[in-house]
Amino acid sequence: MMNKINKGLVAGAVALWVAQAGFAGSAAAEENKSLTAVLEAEIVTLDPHFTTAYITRTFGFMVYDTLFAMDTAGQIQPQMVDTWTVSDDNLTWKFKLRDGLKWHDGEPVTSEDVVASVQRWWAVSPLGTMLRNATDTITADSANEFTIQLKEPFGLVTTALGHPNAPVAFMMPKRLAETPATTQLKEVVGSGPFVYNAERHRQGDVMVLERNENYVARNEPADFMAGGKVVNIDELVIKTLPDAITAATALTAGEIDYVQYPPFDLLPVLENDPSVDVLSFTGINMYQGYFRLNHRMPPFDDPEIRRVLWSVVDQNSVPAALGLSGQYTVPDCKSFFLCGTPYETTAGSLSPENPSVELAKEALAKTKYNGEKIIILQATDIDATRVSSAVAADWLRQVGFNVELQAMDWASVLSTRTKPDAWHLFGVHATGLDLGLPITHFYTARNCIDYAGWHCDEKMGEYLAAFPRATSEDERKALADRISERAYEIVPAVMWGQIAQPAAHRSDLSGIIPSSIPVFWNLERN
Amino acid sequence: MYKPIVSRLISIVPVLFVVSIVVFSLLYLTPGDPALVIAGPNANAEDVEKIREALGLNESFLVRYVSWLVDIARLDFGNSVMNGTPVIDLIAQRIEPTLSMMFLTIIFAVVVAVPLGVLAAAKVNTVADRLVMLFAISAFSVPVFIIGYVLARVFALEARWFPVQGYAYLADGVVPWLRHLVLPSVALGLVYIALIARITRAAMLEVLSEDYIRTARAKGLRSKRILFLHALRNASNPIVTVIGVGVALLIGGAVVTESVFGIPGLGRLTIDAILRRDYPVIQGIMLLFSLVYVLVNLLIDIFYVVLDPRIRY
Amino acid sequence: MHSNRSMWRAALRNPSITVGGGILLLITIVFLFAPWLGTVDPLTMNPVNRTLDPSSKHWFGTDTYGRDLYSRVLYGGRISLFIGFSVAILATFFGLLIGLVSGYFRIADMIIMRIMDGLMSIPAVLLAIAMTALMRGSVLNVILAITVSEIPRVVRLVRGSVLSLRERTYVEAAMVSGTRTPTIIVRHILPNTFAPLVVQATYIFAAAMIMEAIMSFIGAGTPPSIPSWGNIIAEGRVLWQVKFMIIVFPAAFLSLAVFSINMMGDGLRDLLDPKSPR
Repeated sequence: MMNKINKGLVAGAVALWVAQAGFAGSAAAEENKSLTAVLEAEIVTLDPHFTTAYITRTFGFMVYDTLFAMDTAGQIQPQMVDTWTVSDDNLTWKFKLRDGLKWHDGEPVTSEDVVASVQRWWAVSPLGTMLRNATDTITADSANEFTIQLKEPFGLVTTALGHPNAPVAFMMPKRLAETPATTQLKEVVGSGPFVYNAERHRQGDVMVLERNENYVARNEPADFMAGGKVVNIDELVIKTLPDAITAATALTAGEIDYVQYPPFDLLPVLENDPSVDVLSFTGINMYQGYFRLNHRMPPFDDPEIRRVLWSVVDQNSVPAALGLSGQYTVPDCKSFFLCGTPYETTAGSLSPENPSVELAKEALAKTKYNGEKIIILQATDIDATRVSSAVAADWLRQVGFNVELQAMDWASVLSTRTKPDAWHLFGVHATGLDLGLPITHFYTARNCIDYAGWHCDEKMGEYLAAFPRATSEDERKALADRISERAYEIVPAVMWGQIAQPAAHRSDLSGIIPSSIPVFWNLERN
Repeated sequence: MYKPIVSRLISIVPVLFVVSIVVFSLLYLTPGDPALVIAGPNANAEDVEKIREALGLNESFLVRYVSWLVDIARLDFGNSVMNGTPVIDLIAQRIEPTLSMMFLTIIFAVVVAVPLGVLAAAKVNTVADRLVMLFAISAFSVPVFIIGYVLARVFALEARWFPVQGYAYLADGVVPWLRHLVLPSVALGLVYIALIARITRAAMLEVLSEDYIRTARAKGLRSKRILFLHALRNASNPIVTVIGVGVALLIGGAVVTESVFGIPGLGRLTIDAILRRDYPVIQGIMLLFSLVYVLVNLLIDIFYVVLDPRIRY
Repeated sequence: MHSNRSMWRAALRNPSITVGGGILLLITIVFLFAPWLGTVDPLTMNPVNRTLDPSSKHWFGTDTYGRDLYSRVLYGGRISLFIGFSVAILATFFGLLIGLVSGYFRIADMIIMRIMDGLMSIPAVLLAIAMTALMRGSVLNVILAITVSEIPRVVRLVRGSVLSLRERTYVEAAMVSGTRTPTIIVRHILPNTFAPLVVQATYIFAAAMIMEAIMSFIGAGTPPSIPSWGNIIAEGRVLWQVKFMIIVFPAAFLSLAVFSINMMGDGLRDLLDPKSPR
């Protein structure tokens, strides 16, 4: 009898000890001011010029720094650059770097490093390529001064250097920047507010970014990617948690502090949790969803048939099917460059006020469509693509198209879409940071080049070429209208909605920068 | 006894060869291109082509397979195409969580299932027997991820007994290690409890009906000792077999359990590698899984001999 | 050996077989007649009416796309049962064929068993993902992927039973007396392998349906455009704490079906396997 009681006591004590050991761990973590975040995906590629993947861009903004940066209003502000001058003919641009900038390996940042970095970046970046094509020479004048000598007027010098369109113009030491951008770097040395610690990186599990004690922040307050990047935490622990449901549960339980993409369907639950706040986004920090069309695959080579889609795609259905309530969407945004952004325009809109299956049926009857099969690609491992493609298939089926929905993973979509005769349409979404500018917008700017969908329009090409040469904002806005008109006419893609991808965080965090690129300077734990 | 074991060890080589051919052909035929995944969805076609060339993806099937075989022969498993990390390092990092989870799951399943099976056999056709069998069939009928979500909700979020997710390495202490693994092991283990309990019951019933047990009973040995010492020992053969077969099932189940509980193990690494078309990683893991599977089954065959002297090689 | 009639009578007296088989039969009938049981098109979406609670219009409520869940569960049952049944039949058939060859011809045995070991050691889930990536998501691929991973288990079973039968006096006598191999197989080997095979087939049936659900969880299962219990559960799993109904109905039916098949398998084993005591 006694024996049994003892056993029970021991078991109870062990359970208590086990329970306490766990809480002691999290208390210790709080003392050294660490913050745990779960981001959209694992950070696999650490070379920010090498890939256009959003997650690597996020990593880039933490570890690397930029010459210029965008503020909340969409304006470009100096970041590593202190002062700069432009000659009267707008062709000679002279820049001076801020004092005290250092690489993470302790070496000072020099203008030679900067020149090499710009050259690595502009070989792969769309904006960078435009700048390169307009540039005659880029030279280091002294340890902290450099010059860009243009051969033709270019209105977007600072925009190109400071725009968050991937790949971003991140700076790195010359010895690394001399590697071509199509060869992946093996070393991570930046000058950003966080330092990557390779030894504490366990792939598929955690990455630790430590505060850069040598970072010299600007004096201005933090403003989107611009301003002073003051880090108030000791370290940022980025955890890989593949299951979004588990991530949301772990946030509620207080095991993690920040989740970039909690499942939409769980947002109402998180909103009702007093220990958790939901962070929504506006303007260029929102996403826009698209159905990308293949212009080389009959019958979609016929613009009349492509235009039928404007009559059926209403912008409420896909966001609703994704589980987003109205507060996280911009209903009926008929602007290619998103609504609430500098280049918002509905010029040339062909989208009726109330799109419907009936309207589309009428429109289809007037075309030469003859029952050809329409192949829709559906990536089952990405929610937005899975849901939007499914809704598109249902719409087109009801309209009278002969639809085949092909389910596959995202990697297969990426390779299938490179074949002009293998698909007609797939659903996709991208941030306003890329889509908000006509010349970085994937479905207007990628005109007449080898890019899945292969839309090609001569007039569109002229407007796109004129855009960076324009010297005033009014001129650029007028060109955005022209581009929008052409886009509605040739239908490179049809938008299915403007949505926010809200983040969720523990409510004891404050000062979070409302940006769809999650950055962890400025914020504090109360 | 040793000679057959040596020949079994040698026969691992052709098995691994079969696996390598199957896996390599599957990957070769699979649409998807690591270069496209690496470059990101918005990259230019020319940049992708440069990456593809740098990775040697434009070579023919045979050239790639042979050069891979040659590397394997030199114990070089290659590097991840995503970021150049050696496959060996990636696997080494991930092996502990998976092995820990599988180890605890097997222990948990055996400790619970064998007594349940013996109980059911001892009280055959009673309410206890029916209840055990009902549980065994029910546990088999619910997908493991549902069990996982429910366990995490009830025992982690509400009761706060265990963490919701994650893994603590053994080097950081046994207690956190155990706390992180209890829920995943239970979720993964339920199916195996069902499986092992059923087999144990059946094997026990068979042994109990044999003559020598009846003789032992007639000699007046106490029935508990008969059940456990004599019967269970003689019934161990099919039980050990099913544990061995279970290892293959465990690897499959681990893939899902690791996702649900955020455990950075090999199962998750495999899924990620497949989704990213990281060929060297997939090939390395598949070889490892096959090796583990074959070795475990070899071990089981050796167990047979130890446990049951009637069997000779 | 029992005669056929006494076998039937014994089967009907076995509660596991009658209850399990009864439930399975009922489920099958319901699903076969799904179009006439008040269902609507299980594919038509209406996102505005998503995740509705059960009502007189939508008996089980609606899913995340606003599709009628009752109709989806009924039509999904057809696919899930079809997958389970097909895998059971295909795996048993090919397993039997390969197992017979392997057990009967010693030269082939060595090679076949190494290949089977190799296939068996690739986890079914991983094989399925690779195959889905290879050939697009489709019901056929799901069936193929699960079948390939189940075949080796059947082969082992058949081979073992052939090997032990070969040693029996009457088989040896037949072989010595020059009876043709196919005749020996049909007359002596097949009837004696039949019982464990049927039992194995029922387990495969049940396991394949669970496997289909697990594959859907990873996104390598039945394509989302075709409802199956597995992908209804997988698609609705985000809502399990919010709208439990969405996964309760398909999960309950899946469990019930798997449960009844397993139960029937247990009953069949008791009945057919002479070594197993009642």
